Amino acid sequence: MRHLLPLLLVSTLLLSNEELNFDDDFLQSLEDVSEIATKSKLNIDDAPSFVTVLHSEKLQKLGIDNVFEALGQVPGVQLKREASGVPVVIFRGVTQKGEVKLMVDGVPVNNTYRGSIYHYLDFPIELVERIEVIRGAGSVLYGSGAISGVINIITKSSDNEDTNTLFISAGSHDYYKGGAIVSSKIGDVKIAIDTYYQDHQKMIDSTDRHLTDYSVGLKINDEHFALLARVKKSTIGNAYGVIGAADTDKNKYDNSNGAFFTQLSYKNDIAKKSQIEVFAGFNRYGQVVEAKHPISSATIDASYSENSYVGQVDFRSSLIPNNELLVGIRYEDASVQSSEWKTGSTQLTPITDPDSKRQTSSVYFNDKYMVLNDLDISAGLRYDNYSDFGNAFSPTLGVVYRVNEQWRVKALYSNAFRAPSWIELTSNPNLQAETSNSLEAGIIYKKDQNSVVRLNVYKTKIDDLITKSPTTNRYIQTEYANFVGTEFEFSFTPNNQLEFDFFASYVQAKDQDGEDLADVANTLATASAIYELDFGVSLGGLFKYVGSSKRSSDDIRASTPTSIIVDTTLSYSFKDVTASFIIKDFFDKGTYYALPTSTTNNDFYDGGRTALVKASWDF
Amino acid sequence: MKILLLLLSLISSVFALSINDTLLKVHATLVPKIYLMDYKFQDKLKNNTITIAIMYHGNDYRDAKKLKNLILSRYENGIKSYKVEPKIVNYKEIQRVEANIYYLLPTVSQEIKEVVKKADTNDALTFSYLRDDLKHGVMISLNVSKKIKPLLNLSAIKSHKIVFRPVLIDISTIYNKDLESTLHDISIKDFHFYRVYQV
Repeated sequence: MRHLLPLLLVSTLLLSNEELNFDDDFLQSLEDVSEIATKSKLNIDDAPSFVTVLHSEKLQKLGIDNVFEALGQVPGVQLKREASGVPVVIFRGVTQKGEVKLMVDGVPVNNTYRGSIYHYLDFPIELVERIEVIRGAGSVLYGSGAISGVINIITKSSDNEDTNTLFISAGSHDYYKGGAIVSSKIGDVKIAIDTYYQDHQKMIDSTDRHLTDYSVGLKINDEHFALLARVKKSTIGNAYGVIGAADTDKNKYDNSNGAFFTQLSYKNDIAKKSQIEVFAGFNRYGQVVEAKHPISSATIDASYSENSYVGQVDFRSSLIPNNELLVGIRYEDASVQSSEWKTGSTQLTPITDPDSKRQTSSVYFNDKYMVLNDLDISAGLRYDNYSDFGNAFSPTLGVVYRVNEQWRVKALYSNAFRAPSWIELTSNPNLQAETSNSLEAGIIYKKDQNSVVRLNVYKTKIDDLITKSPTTNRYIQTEYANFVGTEFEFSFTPNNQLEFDFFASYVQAKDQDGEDLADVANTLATASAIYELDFGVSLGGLFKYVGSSKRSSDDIRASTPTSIIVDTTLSYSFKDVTASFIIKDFFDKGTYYALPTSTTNNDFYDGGRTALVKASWDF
Repeated sequence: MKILLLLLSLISSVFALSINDTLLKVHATLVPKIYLMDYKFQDKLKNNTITIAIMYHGNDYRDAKKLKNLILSRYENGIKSYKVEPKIVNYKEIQRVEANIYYLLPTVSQEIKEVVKKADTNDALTFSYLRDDLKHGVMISLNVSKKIKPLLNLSAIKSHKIVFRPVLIDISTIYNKDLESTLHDISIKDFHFYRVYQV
């Protein structure tokens, strides 16, 4: 008996330890998946911001081919092309460059040169896992440029899961695309590489707008370390890009954009429920333009490049009960490497100040506090110090109230800013940062897992908006512009038989004189449906409405016409192979974009009906 | 166009729900762990292996394969001392498959009921991607809100030889068929009351 008692005691202790193990392990897993859900924006309706998440698989069933087209599936986003044919995304009526922050796998890729992002917008959807989009301001976490929207492209290769895919496409305008994602695991180290090449000979309104584009991306990571790297290079043709003249004889014109980034990160738990993440990164952007002047035939050569080095430390903790805290510091050092252009045999002239340098130091914090079981309050503040123009403060305050299982109510106040780009500062060294104040409110009704309705309203005022003066062609700072609008979304999946989505938005964008801003379509609406048959066939339909938009005050032409485009997609899947046949602009209505009067009396025609065939193989 | 619409309306068994990859990752993590929360799970294992049958239709083959790979990548060395073996099974082959967990990707109610019936025969757990499937007798799904919570169909669970650990009940949202899909967060105390009240 004397021996039996300790034995019993030990075995009871062991058993109870195992019991605790099971329970603790399970609770930890629930915490982990909730963190995954928050990070991947799975529970967007419970976040104190207005977010859209686009999933690649669904987008492909609707015939969407690249990131630019995908962003048209975000409420309040208008797609446009500049005179040169380069794509522009207009969030909530804000048409200026640099007002939207773009990240690829969490790495910001806007250049300091112009704040532009277009060189990433033709990124193929096949390499994308999802696109997370914040509609509205996000400077407290993302700094300069996050005034009207923040886009984060999450690639499949960075998604940490085994993915092996081959894909090819061919279509109208001699369009070809091919690419692959390959991943492997060596011990605890995961390695993933993606690559693609695409090429087309498209004409915009009978002017040359060819494209060649490729990218290679790499991710190597283990539990703590991650190395990300991507190189992307594209060359596009002219359209109306050189002094607004049509390039009908395929005049020599190549606008080449090269971008490279690499980021090394380390994360680890430093205490219970507390984690530190350290980032070090390098970005390079370069542009080379070679053109023949359409009138004088003189050769134009322009070359620009910039480098930036980034260091960042984030500390996250949920140690304080009911709080999720983020505190971070960031330092960025950007500088121009080359900046020159010439026409014919003239002397080289700088495009921007060739000695431009910018050191940015930032401190930020954000805390999400669960006041009650059904009420979250989120508050944040960011301070940025720019070596070339001064300081910026960006506060934010958000509230989410879960009325019950079905209803959510949200409100958000945020302040954001945009530092002037180097091309703007070269034009006018006295420019200051734009700042914005936004108020947003929304309601969400989720009847069940198959239907959800979201409605929100917003009011944004941008002070010191930077625009180009039509008379002097110089960048100037206007007093302010106001943006008031609403966005509505409805998703419905009746009896798993049909997936239907509808969203619409309305915006009034006015300058300080109360005049409508040019190129902003007040009303946008999109409806889509996916119908899948039992034998692997899927039918997708996409209806897009873009209302008319006013022209600039010195342009006496009537507003641009409304546009209605219908795309259809037929897909067939068998085991690991999927093939799709896509007809874009099924009714051949044509897409038109506004051109300045200095260019032509007409708007330019970006083509009508096109066909696309795609195939992919998961292995 | 009219002919196409007519053709579509005549096809009764169509499946359109896009599967969310992030949600699949969450399910891949939790499905085997929830199985371990049954006090009697060891008695039901063969060769110390948790067998998960991922039920799919033709169109969902890629999603089923994705889920299988997600489970394998998370549990390639098993869980605790148990092996985890996910396998992909077409709904048409349900009668030929023995498993500890039947995971249901979206399908029609008739096939859900067949899987539930099959699970009855070997005291297996049924776990669905869609929480609406609980009204057809599936035992578990997940409720995605600010936090991820298991969604338990207690009336389906109590009719089987499954006794879940209290922590699972405590943390879960309870599905009540009698209240037509109304979900209630209940505490452990409420649960005992609920159980007594229901029985």
